Amino acid sequence: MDRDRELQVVGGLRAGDPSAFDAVYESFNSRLYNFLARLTNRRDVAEDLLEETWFRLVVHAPRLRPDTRLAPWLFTVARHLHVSHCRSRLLENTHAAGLLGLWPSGQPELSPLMAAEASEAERLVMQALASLPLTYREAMLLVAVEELEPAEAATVCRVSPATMRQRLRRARALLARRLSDGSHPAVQMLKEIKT
Amino acid sequence: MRTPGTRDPIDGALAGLTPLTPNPSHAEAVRRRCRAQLARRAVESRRPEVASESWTSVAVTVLLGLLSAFYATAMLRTILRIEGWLP
Repeated sequence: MDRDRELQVVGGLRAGDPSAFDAVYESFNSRLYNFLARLTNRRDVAEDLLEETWFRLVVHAPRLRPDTRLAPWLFTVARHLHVSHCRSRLLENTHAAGLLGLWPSGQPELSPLMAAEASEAERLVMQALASLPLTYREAMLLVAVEELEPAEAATVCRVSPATMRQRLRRARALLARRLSDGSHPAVQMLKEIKT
Repeated sequence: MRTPGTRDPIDGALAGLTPLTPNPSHAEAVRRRCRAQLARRAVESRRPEVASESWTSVAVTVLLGLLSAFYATAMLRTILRIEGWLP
């Protein structure tokens, strides 16, 4: 969506135009779902958070600034919802297992469904991605997969651009190390498939 | 925007992941609900809600003013009667 179209769509959303909502939904639904699914590693949770993201947009539509950039706005909401979800799950888990000193660390493992859908090379990349600390994973998802500018990703994650650049650097290094650990580095496999 | 040629290989590997697709029926249901809610909110925001709210506050103020005036008059009359200035 180019900037002129985006401004037009934001105007439509502010005025409550359902066709403007359709345009945003068309452009961002899959992207947001991918972001959330790879962040949570769970399709059911991703769908719930995605639904809530769209409801937030509807509720806030009349109050959007006319120059709102939709991608950072939507990814910020989605990320915020994911953080809230993690916090609520953390509370649940600490009630149940607090005395054992178990600190839930997200879901580094892929769900069986997601793993089954991917090819071998993809599975390796997905596993490496899923094993990254959450702050690195979200940085990589926003910049490498969703193609947000690092400055936009910094806004989404509420960190300075310098911090975001550092996270990206470390995330890439970690991913590269994890991908080259095995006997069939996934990056090489992907390169071979693509050429 | 970065061009594919200048991409870090790690970024390229991530960008090459097969896109995941949400459940189509659920996605369509969410879209319809949001659309309807957006349209409903737009209609609600166009209603003269602000005007009716301001009329209510004016009416309450006038009522309170009248009651205060009535109370003050009654009190004044009682004082005047006690002082003997009124029969």
